[in-house]
Parts: sequence; C-alpha cells; structure tokens
Amino acid sequence: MDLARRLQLEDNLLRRHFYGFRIQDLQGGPNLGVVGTLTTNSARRYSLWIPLERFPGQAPRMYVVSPLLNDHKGNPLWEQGVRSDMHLLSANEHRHVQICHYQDSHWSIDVTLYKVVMKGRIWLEAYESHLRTGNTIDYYLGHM
Amino acid sequence: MASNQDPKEISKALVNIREQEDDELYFDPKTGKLVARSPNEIAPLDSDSVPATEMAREGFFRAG
Repeated sequence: MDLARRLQLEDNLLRRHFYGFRIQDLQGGPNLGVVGTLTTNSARRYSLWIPLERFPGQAPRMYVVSPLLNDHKGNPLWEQGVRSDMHLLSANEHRHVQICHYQDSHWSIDVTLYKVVMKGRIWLEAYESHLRTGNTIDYYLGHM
Repeated sequence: MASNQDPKEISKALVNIREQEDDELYFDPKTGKLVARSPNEIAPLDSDSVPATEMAREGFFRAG
C-alpha cells in the first residue's frame, strides 16, 4: 500500500473514533501530521500534535500542545526532560511535552495512528490521576 | 448500562490492568470517555464502545 493510501485510511479511522481528529496537509504541505483535541473523563481538554514525517517506518512523536503541562506540584513538565516514571520524552522547543508511547522494538509499520492516539488518551487520564494523587504515571501505566 | 466513568474508577482500573488483574478498559467514541469494567460487571456496554484494555496492558515505552 502506498503512503498516500495508507494516510487516507488512517485519517478515516481517526475521524470515525476521535471526534475532531484529522490528518492535516494530507494532500501535500509542510506540516503533515495528526491534530485533534481529547477530552478526559473530568472534562478537561488537551490538544495533540503528531508529526508524521517518519510514519509508518518509525513510531511518530506525540506532543501535548495545549495546555502546557505541569506536574502535581505545579512545576512545568517541559523543564524536566526525559522522565521514564512519567512516560515522557524531551519536550520540543515550544514547551510541548512528548508522550513516549511505543518503544522502537515494539513498533511495526502495521501500528495504526488510532492506537497511538488511544495511548495518548489513556496517558492523559493517568496524567490527571497523577495531578490528583502525586503518584507518577508509571504507577498507573506499566512499561513495555 | 455499564458506564463507570468516574476518573477515580478509571485510575483504579489502570492500576489493576498494570497488575495483570482482569479489569477492562473501553473507549466510548460518542462521549470521548474511558469506561472501566470490573471482572464482575454484568451490565451491557454501549455497543459503540471500543476495547482499550490491551493498549493499557501492553504498557508505554520506558524512556531514558
């Protein structure tokens, strides 16, 4: 399957399951990636950005672009760099934290963006649990 | 209809899933909410809900 067809299928799958999600620049453009906003069970909203320049050959990066996230003590998570106990990779230059979802050894070209976004959804729920309790996210979500 | 969507119940389910218990997690595309189901849950689930248990169970990448 060529990339254009694959991305179209991925876009269809995302739109069906995650309201408001889409792949932008699908027909060409410099910012090919998934955009959308998730609402947690407590009704808080988080916007995700998943650039697709290396998909599907490598696991795409997944950033929370809004709001900027703090830990339960109010300290910015973007300043804390890589944190395995929070399942976070380094934030980008815009202070958007990066969720580490799939390990390269567990990634295959068959993994769909639907699964990536679903992991983001689950991570956000665990993040809010962290805010309530102070437990790190790996208390709620195990490691691969 | 089973719809345990209380965030604290979701937290408990995530911990149980991590500990290899038999809790289940679903995602309801209509509401965007996660739904937790305990092993003894017998009430029916919304037919549009999709399973999310395995994605929670397989874990997340240990960075660093």
